[in-house]
Order: sequence, then C-alpha cells, then structure tokens
Amino acid sequence: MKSILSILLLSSGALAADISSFDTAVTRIARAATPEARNQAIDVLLNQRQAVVSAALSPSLARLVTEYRKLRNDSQTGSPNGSSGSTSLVLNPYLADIFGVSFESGSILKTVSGNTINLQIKPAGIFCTVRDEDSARAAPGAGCLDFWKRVGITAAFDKSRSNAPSQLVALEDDFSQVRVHIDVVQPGVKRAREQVSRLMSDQSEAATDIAVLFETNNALKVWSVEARGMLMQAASAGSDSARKKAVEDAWRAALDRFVALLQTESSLRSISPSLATFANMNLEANLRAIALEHLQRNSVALEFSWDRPDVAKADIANGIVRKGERPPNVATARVIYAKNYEPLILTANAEASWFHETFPGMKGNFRNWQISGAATFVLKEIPNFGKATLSFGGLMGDLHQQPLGFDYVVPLVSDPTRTEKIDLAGPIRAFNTRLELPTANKSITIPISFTYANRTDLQKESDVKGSIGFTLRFDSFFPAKQ
Amino acid sequence: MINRGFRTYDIEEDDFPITITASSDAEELPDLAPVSFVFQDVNTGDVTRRKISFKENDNETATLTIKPPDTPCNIVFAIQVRFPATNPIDQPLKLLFVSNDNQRAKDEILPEDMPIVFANYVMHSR
Repeated sequence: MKSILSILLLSSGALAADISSFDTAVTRIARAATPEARNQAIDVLLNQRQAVVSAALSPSLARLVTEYRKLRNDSQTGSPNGSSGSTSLVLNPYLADIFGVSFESGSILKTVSGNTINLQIKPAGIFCTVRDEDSARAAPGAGCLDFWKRVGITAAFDKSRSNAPSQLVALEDDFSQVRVHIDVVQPGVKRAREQVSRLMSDQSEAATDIAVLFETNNALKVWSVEARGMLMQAASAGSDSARKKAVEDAWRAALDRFVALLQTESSLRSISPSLATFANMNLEANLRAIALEHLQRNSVALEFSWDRPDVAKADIANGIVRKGERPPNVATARVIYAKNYEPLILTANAEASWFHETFPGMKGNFRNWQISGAATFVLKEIPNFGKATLSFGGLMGDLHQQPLGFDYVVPLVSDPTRTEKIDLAGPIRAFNTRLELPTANKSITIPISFTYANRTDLQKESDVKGSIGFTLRFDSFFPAKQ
Repeated sequence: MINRGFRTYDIEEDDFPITITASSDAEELPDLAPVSFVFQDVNTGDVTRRKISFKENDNETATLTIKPPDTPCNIVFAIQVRFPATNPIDQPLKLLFVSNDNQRAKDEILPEDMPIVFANYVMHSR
C-alpha cells in the first residue's frame, strides 16, 4: 500500500512542482536589499529540506497553504440587541480572556434608546493571571484551569434610560442583565493539540534522516549548489515584481529538477518510497495543525441570561404599570456559533426567552424566539491599530405575547383621557450593518452600527437606528511574563 | 564550537554538554517537537541515534541539552517547530546555542507558509 502511495505521489509530483508553500521564503529572497541578505534568505530556503521533499511528493500542499493563511482570530465585547444601548444585532462567541468593558449608546431593537455599560469577566482567567502573574495563562489551553476558563459572566447596566419620552423609564441607573457564557468547543482543542504533538514526534526521526541525506548524497549536494546559483541569478536584477517572478521560476525549475533526480538518480530512487512516506506524514501533521487552528477558531457557546426590565418612574400615564411596578423578569437561553473563513467570519445566534412569572391575561411564560446571522468581513490591518471589521446581519423572530407581559395601552388621539389596547405580539425582522474600528491592537475598539427594523419592542412601526460604542479588552493590560 | 556556515558548526569534546535555548518575542512559544539526533562516529563511521525533547521553563523558554557522545562524532539533527496561526510572520523562534566552555551561537527559525517548519543543523567534530 505504501509503495502504491509512493508511486502515486511521485507521479503527481512529476507533473509540476508546487511552490506555493515557499511563498514567504521566495518573497524574502526577492525583497532582500543586499547580496548578503539575499544569500541568507537563500540559505533559509535551501535549508527547508523536509519542505522540499514534501513539496516534491505531495501535490495538495497548495490547498493547505491557502487554508492556513485564512486563519485569524476574532472576538467581540458588547451588549445583546435587547439592551437599551447596543451595537450588536448578532453576538460573537468570544469573551475577553480576563476582563472587558463596553459603553454603548443607542438601541438596536428597543423602542427607547439609552446607554448601556457591559462588564465581562472570566473568573478563572483572572485567577490564573493573578496566581501566575502572567496574563498568557488566561488564554484557552494554557494549562491553568482550562475547563473553568470556558465560563464567562457579563453584567449590563442601563444608564440614562429616563431621557427618553417613555412611560417605561428607570427609577435610577439600573442593573439590567446578567449573562453566563460557556464555551463548549474547548475540550476538543486539547485532544487535537496532543495529536499534532504526537505526529510531529513520530516524524522527527525521518526528518533527521532527510537532513543526513542532503548532507551526504552527492547528487543532492550538486542540486543544492545549482539551485543556489539559479536563485542568486534570478534575484539579482529587475524590479521587485520582476525579481519575485524570476525567483519563483527559478525555484520551480529547481524543484522540477529535484523531482527528476528522485526518479532518475539511482542513489535516490531506492529511498524514494521512504521519502514519500515522510511527505505523507508531514502532510498529515500539517493538516492536523490546521485542524487545531480551526478548532481554536470554530466556536460554539451557550449563554443564559437574566434580564430585569425597566421600571415605571411615574404612575400609569396610559395604563401600563403603576409607579415603581416592574414587569416580570425575563430568562433567555442562547446558542452562538461562529465559523472562521477569514477574511469572512460567519456567526449565527438562536435564542428563546421566558417570563419568570405570569400575570393575569398572559399566555403562559414563553415570551419570544429569535434567530439571527451575520457575515463579518475582516478588513485590511492598520499597523499598531489592528484589523477593522465590517458586518452585515439579519434577524427574524416572533413575540409570542406582549413584550412586557402586561397589556399595552396608549391614549386615543381623539380623546387622550381614554386609552386603547395595542397588541404588540407578532413577528420582528431587522437588518444591521456594523463597522468596528480598532485601536491599540484591538484592545480598544469603536463599533458603529445602523439597524433597520420592521418594528421595535414597543412599537409596531419600522425604524432606523444608529448606535455607537467603545469597548475595552483588558487582557493585554495585565502583566505578562517575557 | 565555531560557526562554519549557515546552521553548520565545528565542535570539540570540551564543548559538551551543548545547551540549546528556544525563545520567542511572540505571545506564545511555538510548539517544539522532540529532536532526533544522528551521531556518526568519526573514526568508525558507526551511526547511533538519540531523541531528546525540549524542556519548557517557567520563563516562556524551552531548553534542550546535548550530552557528550562516547566518542568524537559528527552530529546531524532537524528542529521541528509548529508556529500557531497567531504567531506574527516577523516573529521567529530564537535559538541560542551555548557550549560547556560558554561559546555562543545564535539562530532564528522564521515562520513560513506551513504551520510546521524544519531547521536542519550539522555539527562537525574537529
């Protein structure tokens, strides 16, 4: 079986040398400003002997390289769309590893806009950071309370809700929501990391054999000298782009020559099957390494939140509640999923809410359901600031009954002393665009959001809202061991 | 221990043990696989193998020690590094080679297009 695989790999390798896995090294040669730097860059390339063998014998490296380059990181701080101040129609699943704060102004789905301060902590992250005096220990998989680091807690405080002309206004600056957040993908990461480590260990002997081969085999020594000459010549003249093209052509020719040597040189032909076996192992190890990165970036999280609604500041003006009376609390269960195809990140949320208690006239405890999705594009990096992101999100849901649990009544236009009952149950749809501008390598971000909704919680009329925020992730502010 | 070219060194008996210390300016030290060493007796040509792992230290470094072979040997080995995707492209794995008589040599393994990068070393016995 192994020999069949070797023949297949040798055959497909002979079709054309794939140099995509050397792009960084080739670019380094083409951009080298001095002959010494060029020589050193060529040294680095020619020293990648195991990669040369893998490239010569594994036709699918380009796919791996493409996938690997797409892997990036992503996270978000901020309140859910039901808060008085929010910039997020759809929540991302990452919380700060240690501590984060956001200030957001302007609502998404609330009729009455306000400002919300959202605090988030990972207790285990704080414990590990303080105990080891190292913020890196707060990261997932860092070997400190890794199970408990999957749990985060957020608390939201609605500020200045009472500025809006509404009968539902806060008596005071008010705690409004607590969320418990659990990352459920973390257990897989450790297993994947162990697999990668084992595969790397398994191929270490074969890797050293290849190092010995390049040191001792005369045909390969000659190949190295020839390849160096071709690369030096290609990199010595022309514009940057012309040099890059010339170096790529030279390296492709050198690899083609290497493949030919494996098939024609008697001293190499006999060991080609073992080289093909190594190439296969290395391919597998790199695939696992990429899978590990994917696991670290594919996220599923569960959230449970408890919302305390606004309270009436004054006695009923239109029949909703009496002064000081608070509508029933709401519990929400939410699933958050994200998949990173960077520069595109897809995120989906599904949630359902229940009233804690039922009042006369209510149709049971169930309040509403929502599903939402967002496509986030990672934009070009601004040096020392980070990468801006642009998101487009949509939401659909249904209010099973009145949003506050109470019947909602408003004064009649014809006779303000009389009121009429408004049925606020029904479907809700929203579309949102969100731009998040980074500063300080994404430790501080400024999200700006515009939302169109066919209705808000207390009004069955379409609305366009703008909101802005300021988020801080304090992970990088904690001390780290150098 | 004298540097004779790119990742090529001349070594003597009193250089051992040789310590290799790996460090990085990136947030996370890249993963280092156990290293398989090939020792070739310079007198008889006999080849022996030894597998040595890097030991992680408290200060985000890892250390590997090459103990003296029984007879003068040429040594060939490949260090295998897995750079995580979060490792900046301009942050290499830094290596410091220190001989028993405190001769030092530095090297850097740069992140490339694949997660796993190999660096090959040869130590010739003088």
